[in-house]
Amino acid sequence: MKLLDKVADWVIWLLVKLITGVRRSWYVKNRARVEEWRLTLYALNRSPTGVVGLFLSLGFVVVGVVGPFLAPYSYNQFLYLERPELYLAPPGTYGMMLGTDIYGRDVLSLMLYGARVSLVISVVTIALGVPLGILLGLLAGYYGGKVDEAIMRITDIFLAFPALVLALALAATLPQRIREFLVSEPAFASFMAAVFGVSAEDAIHLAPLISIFTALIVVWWPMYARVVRGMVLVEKEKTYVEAAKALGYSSWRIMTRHILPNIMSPVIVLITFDFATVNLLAAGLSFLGLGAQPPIVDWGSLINMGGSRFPTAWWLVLFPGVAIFLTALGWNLLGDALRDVFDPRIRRRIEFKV
Amino acid sequence: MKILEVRNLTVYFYTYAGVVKAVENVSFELYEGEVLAIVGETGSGKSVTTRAITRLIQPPGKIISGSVIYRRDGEEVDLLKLPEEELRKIRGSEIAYVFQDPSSALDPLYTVGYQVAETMTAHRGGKIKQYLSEVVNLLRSVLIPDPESRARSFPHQLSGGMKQRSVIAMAISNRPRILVADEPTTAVDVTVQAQILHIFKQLKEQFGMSIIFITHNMGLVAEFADRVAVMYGGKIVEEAPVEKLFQNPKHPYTQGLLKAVINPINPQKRLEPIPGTIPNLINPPPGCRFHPRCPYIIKGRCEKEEPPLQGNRHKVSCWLYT
Amino acid sequence: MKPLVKAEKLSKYFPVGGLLRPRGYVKAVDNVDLEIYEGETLGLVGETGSGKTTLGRVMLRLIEPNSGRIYFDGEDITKASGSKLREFRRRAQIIFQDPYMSLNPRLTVYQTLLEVIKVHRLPIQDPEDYIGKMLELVGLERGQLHRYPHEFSGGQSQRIAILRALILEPKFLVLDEPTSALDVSVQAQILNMLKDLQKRLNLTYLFISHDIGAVRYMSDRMAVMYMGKIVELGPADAVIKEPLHPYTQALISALPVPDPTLARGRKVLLLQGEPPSPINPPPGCRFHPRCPYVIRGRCEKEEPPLQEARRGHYVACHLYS
Repeated sequence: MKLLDKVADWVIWLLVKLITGVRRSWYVKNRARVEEWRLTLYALNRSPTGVVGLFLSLGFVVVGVVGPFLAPYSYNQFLYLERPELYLAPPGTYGMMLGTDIYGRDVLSLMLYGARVSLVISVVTIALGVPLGILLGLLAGYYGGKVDEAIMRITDIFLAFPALVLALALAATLPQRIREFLVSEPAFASFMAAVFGVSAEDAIHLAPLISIFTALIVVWWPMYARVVRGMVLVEKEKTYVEAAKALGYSSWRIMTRHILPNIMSPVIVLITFDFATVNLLAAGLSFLGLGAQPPIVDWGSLINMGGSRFPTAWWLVLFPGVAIFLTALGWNLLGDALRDVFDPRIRRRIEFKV
Repeated sequence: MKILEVRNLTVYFYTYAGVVKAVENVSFELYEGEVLAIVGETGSGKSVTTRAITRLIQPPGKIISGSVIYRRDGEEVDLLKLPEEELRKIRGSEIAYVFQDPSSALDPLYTVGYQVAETMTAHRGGKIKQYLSEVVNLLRSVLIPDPESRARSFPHQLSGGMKQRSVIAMAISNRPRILVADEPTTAVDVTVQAQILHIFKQLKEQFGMSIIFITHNMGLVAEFADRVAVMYGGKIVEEAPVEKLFQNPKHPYTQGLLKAVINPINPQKRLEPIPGTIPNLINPPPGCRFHPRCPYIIKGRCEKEEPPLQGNRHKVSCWLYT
Repeated sequence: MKPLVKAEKLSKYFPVGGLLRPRGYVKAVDNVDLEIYEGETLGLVGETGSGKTTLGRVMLRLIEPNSGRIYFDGEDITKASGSKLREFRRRAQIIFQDPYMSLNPRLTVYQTLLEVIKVHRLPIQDPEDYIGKMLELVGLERGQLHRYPHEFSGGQSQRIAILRALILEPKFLVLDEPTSALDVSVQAQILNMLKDLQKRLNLTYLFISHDIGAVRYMSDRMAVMYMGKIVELGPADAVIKEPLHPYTQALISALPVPDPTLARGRKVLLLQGEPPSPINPPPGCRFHPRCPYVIRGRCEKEEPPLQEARRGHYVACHLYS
C-alpha cells in the first residue's frame, strides 16, 4: 500500500514538474487542486480491484501506442508466401510465440497492431462523440423550454438506432466514398495510416474501419447528452449559478466555466466505462467482418479468422479474446473504483480506512 | 431523580486529515422531568454527544471511552455496553430523537400516518391498522389541524412546520422518558417555533418527560430550559440553572455568547462578536481550548493546563474560578 | 426625496401543477409597492411563503416579474437588457444565505474574484495585488488567496462572497438572510462588518431575514410581509415596539427573548394553524382566517390597502381605517 502511495506521489510530482515547466506560477495557484489529485490517487489505491483496473487500462494504452513499434514482424509480412509451413502455425513453433494466421503473419505482432487499432477507435469515438453529447446536454439542460425539447427529440431519435444496424447500413455505402476521398487526399491518407500504425499504401483499406467509427460516434453521443442534461438540470438550481447570473455573467460562461466542471466527475466515470464498451462493440463489428478488413487487422477480425477454423486454430480465438476481455475488465474495474472515489459519502469511508 | 448520567464520554472521528477529537471527556446528568439545554456552536460537539448516548455514531466516528448510565425500572444500565438488541428496544421507545431537518427524517414513500404507526408497531408489536386512531390523536396533540386527512398525506404534501410536528409525533408515540431534540426549530418559522415550544412544554408538564434540547438560540434557552450546559470545542465549559447562567455567566465564552446574541426586544447598541474562530479539533489548542480567544487569559496557566469542570449547582471549567 | 430603488405594483406568480395547463398560481409577490432610499437599510421580514425572498430577487431581476415596474436611480429597468442590464447588475448586487453554496466550490478565492474583474473589464492594474488587499480589508490573509471555499469557515466564506459583490462597487445590496447559515458569534462579526461597510461606502441595503432581532439591529425601516403582500411598514423600532397589524403582533410575541425572567412572565399569542394554501389565497384580507380581531363582513370581502396609521408607520388592516 505504501509503495502504491509512493508511486502516486511520484506521478503527481512528475506532472507538476511538467506543468510548471510550461507555466511557472501554476503550482502556487493550484496547490489545493494538486492535493486533491493526490488524495484521489490515494483513495484509488485503497481499492485493490481499482488498482488492477488502472494497470490493465494503462497497459492497454501503452501497448496501443507503442505496439506497432515493438512488433517483431510487420502486419503485412505474409510470411506464408515464403515459408508455407507458417500457415496457421500453432503457438511456440518456429519461434512464433503466439502462432501464425492463415497468411503466416505472426500473431503476437498482429496483437500489437490490433491494440493500436482498438485504442484509436476508442479514443476517436469518445473524443468526437462525448464532447458533442456534452455540449448538447448543456444547452438542453440550461435553456430548457423549446431548445430542450428539440435537442431531446433528436437525441431520442439517435438513441433508437441500434449500433449494429447503423454500422451495417453505413458499411454498405460509406467505405466506397471514403476510399475515393483517401485516394484524392494522399496527405490525409498517410496521416490516417500513421495513426493506425499501418503503412501509407494500405491506407485505403482503412475505409471500412473509418466507417464503423462514424457509426459508433453517431450512436455514442446521445447517452452523454441525456446524462449531462439531467445533471445540468440539478446544478443550475444551485445558488452559485444564481450568483453568477447576478454578477452578470453570460450564459455561455456559466455553462462552461461553472456548471460543467462541477458535473465532470460522473462523466469521467462514464467515459471510463465507455472505453470498455466501445472496444467490445468495435471488436464485435470487426468480428462480423464490418470493421478491419485484410490486410488491416484488429482483435475482432482475428477472432473472425479463427472462428471459422475453431477449434483447430484455437490460438486465433483465444489470444485476441483474452486481450479484449482483459481490456474491458480493466476499464470496468477502473470505472467502478473511480465512481466510489468520486462519491463523497463512500470517499469518507475510504478515508476512515486510512 | 437522576435518569441519565453521562461520564467521561469521548468520541473521535478518524478522517484522512487526522483524528478529530469531537467530544472529549464530557460528563453531565439529566434529572427526571427537567429540560436540559445544550448550547454550542459548530464544532462544539453538542450533536455528537447526544447521538453518542444511544450509540448512533457511524464510522469514521468511534466512541472511545465513557459510560452512559440510564436508570430504568429501578436498575442502572450502561447504554454504551448494552447488546445491540437491547439498545434497539430503548431507542425510539424510551429515548427518542427529533432532529433538525424534518424532510430527511421522513420517508417520502409512506404517508405520515403510516410512519407514526410504524414507530408504534416496531416497539409495541401488532399491525399498523390497530394504531390509526391513536395516530390521529397524536397528530392532534401536536397541533396539526385536520389530523385525519393529514395522516393520509405524504411528506411532500406538508409544509416544513407540519413535517416537523409529525416527526415530533413519531418521537413521542411510545411515550419516551427522554426526548432528545437537536435544533428542532431551526428549520421552521418563528410562529411554528412558538407552537412547537408550546408542545414541548406540555410534554414536560403532562408526562414528566425529560428533554435534552440542543440549540444555539439563547432566546429559546431562556424560554424553555431548566438547566443549561454550554459546550465549546468538544467540552462542557459551563453548566448552571438557566437564571443563574443569564444573570451571572462565569465562563468567558458564555459571556461572549450572550453579548453576541441579539435581543430583539431590548437590542444592544452594538453587538460584540467573539474574536477568532472555533478551534481545529484535529489539533486542539493545548490547555483550555478557549484560551486563544479569551480576553481574560492567565498567561502561563491557561495555555498549559486544562481547567476541570468544578462547582456545585453552577459548574464552570475555567482557571479564573479556582 | 427620491428613492434609489422603487418597486411599483410588482407581482410574481408561479404556475403550479396541472397536466397541460396550470392548476393554479402561487402569488408569491402580489402587487407590491416599495421604496428604498439611498443610504438606508430596509428590513424585510416574513415567514415561509411570505414572498420576501422572491421580492428581493425580483427587484434585482434575477426572477422576472409578471407585472409591475422596477425603478433604479430614477430609471425604469423592468425590461432592460444587454448592456443596460449589465450596468444595472454592476450597481445592484446580492449576498446569499449560504456562502458555501453561493461560491463555486471548484474555484479558488482568487479565481472567483478575478473572474468578476475580467468579465466586467474593471480597470485594475495588478489584479493579484488588488485582490490580496481586498482580502486583508475583510480580515483574511493574503496567503489564503489560492484556497477553496470549503477550506474556510462559514464566516470567512461569507466575507468572500461579500467581497465578490463589492468589487463591482455597487450602490444597492440585497442581503438575503446573510447570517442565517452562520454561528451566533460569527453572525455578529458579519453584521458589524456590513454596518461598517455601509457607512464607508454609502451603501443601500435591503435586508431580508426571518430573524427579527437581526433586522432590528441592522435596519432603519422595516416591512412585514404575509402571503405576498406587505402588511406593515415603518421605522424598525416602532414596528417592533408597537406592532399594529395582528400578524406582526403575533410574530413579535412569538420571538424568544434571551432573558429568563422576562421570558417566563410573557404571554405568547399562539397563532392557530398554518398559513393557508398560497394557491388560492383567501378573499379579502389574506390574514383574516387566522386573525383574532377579524371584523365580520369586512375583512373577508375587502382587501385593506397599506395606509399610514402613525407617522411614517403604514399598516394594511381594517382596524385602522
